[in-house]
Amino acid sequence: MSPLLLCGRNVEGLSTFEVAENDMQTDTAKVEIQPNHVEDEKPWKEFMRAFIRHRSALIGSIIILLLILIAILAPVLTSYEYSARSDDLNQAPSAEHWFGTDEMGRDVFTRVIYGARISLWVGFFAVTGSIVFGSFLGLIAGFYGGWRDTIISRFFDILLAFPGILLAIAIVTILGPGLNNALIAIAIINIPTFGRLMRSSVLRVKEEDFILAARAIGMKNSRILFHHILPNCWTPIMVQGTLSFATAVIEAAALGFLGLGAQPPEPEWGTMLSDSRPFIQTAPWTMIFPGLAIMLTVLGFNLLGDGLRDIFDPRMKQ
Amino acid sequence: MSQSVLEISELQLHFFTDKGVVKAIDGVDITVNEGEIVGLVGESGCGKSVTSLAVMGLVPNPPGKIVGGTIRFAGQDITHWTNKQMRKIRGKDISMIFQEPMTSLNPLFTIGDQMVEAIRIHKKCSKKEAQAMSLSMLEKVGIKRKGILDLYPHQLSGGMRQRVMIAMAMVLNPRLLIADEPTTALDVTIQAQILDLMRSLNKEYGTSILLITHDLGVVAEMCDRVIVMYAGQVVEEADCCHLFKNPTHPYTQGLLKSIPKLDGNEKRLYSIPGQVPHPLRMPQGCRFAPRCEYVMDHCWSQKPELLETEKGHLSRCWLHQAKEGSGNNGETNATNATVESS
Repeated sequence: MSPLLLCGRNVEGLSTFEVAENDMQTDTAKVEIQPNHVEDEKPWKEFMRAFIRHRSALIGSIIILLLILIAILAPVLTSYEYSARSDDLNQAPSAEHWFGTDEMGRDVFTRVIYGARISLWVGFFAVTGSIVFGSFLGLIAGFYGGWRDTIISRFFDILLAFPGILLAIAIVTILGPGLNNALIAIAIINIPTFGRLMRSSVLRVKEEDFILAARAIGMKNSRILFHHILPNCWTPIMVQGTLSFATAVIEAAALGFLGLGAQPPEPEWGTMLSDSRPFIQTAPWTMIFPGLAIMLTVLGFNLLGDGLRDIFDPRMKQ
Repeated sequence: MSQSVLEISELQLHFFTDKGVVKAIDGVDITVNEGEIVGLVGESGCGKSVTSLAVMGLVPNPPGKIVGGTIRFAGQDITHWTNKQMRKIRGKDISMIFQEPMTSLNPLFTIGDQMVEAIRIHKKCSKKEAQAMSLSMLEKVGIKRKGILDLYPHQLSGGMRQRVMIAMAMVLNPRLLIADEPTTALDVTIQAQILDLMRSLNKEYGTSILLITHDLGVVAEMCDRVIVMYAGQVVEEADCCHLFKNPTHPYTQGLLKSIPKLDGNEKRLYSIPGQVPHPLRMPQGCRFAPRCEYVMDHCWSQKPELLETEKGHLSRCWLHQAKEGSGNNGETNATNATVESS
């Protein structure tokens, strides 16, 4: 985390005026203005301070932490099995079934909290996959330019020419429905986002004086690329990654809803929405709670992503 | 005469752009001898920095390409060395320091990390040894602060960073240090310190220095020999004292006239009239002709050669070359050039 922070602070130093202005407007993201103070503080500590002062980042991370806890502790939090049926079909929420039961008599609360596991899992690996492949391609395209750049950039353009979810549907159709294939599809459609972001950062960073200086001491291209350019491009990827996590959760739910993602009886939120569609009037809780879960997850990641962006780049208007 | 470390002769480096060929360097001869400090002077865009990058093999190709001439370093012709070959001597035998100390260090790594890296690229040694080397070098450049190796670049001032850059460049004891406007971005007081430092390193290690600058004051203070460049060509070369006392090229004369004087009674500072020619539309004859106050007819059509006006003093100007040569081209002139000083 510390390199990221430093990157942000470097920007702060250059825009002291704007930082000061921000401080007057809100009390969030209060960052060090005097370089003397910065010197005495550990980067990590400074980051934590800015983070805690930034309300939406804090709320977002609390939501996400709670989600992660719920996902991990799911077996402890409920005494039901997520696929266990009972005779109580479509029952309203009660002390026994907090979120009611669905059309097969399964406990909705149990399914929602197990669903958190699936959504976080899909989100995490889909985003990690797109970051790894997208960043690598963007790095090559931006650093070497020429024909490599042409090929990679056109590849991104082709991917971006389709609406994301349509492309995901096409990919899942080819690979066959299922949670893992949905994950792969989501990873693929997000590659150009990270690729282009990385490419533009690389184009900026590679013109920096310290890269020329690194060459002038005889450093190899590969080392310059991975040790000097990559770390300096990390911040926007980090922010975009957090925001993309939210989109990935929605996309996973959408594919689930269309029957292309997680298959029954997997308690995937999108699948649950789809399954309970006929009962929207008689048993609305079967849709409301998975829907709320999706909304909260997306909200959490969006808040955190926006917060990180503000913390790393104080020039951004909040 | 001592052995030459760097010998650039007749170097031509052109940039092939969409709009045409930019002859950024068009006939540059520079010799730097062992232990010598040579100043390379000229206004912005005259090709000083490109020359230094060409020596390092760091001119981006494409669009830049060496189309003629040679660069010899320590007796070896390095003009067309591959990137891989050049990498072995960069930082070890030829080092470079840059104009902008504020941005020449990677903001994400500590001073120690970056110095250790610079050492370990060329020298097999443990991290501890490299750190010790870094510390002693940093001490030599005047940074004695404890824990300096753990500081990040933003925690240092511009002058300190330039010292770090110098330490990084000097730590492997290179034979040639190219300093590309090392003091331009610094306060005047810090400038003097940095120049002192470079001179003492030159004395102590015998490192040759090619000092690129547009500041004639810096040159007067530092250099043994001065080379003046204009629009991609060397227009005059002489001993430092000699050049300041007795400039022969009208461009050099103009440069010297445009230095403000302390006893100045003049109301306005002199400036050379006109502008540097557009890189794509260089004059046919002498490149300085459009701005020269002594311009003669044949200056417009014929290129003057860089010839000796007296011993060790070269000048690229028709004023000091055989008048009877007018009408012929420069090459015949070279044979019957007369020594003429103003």
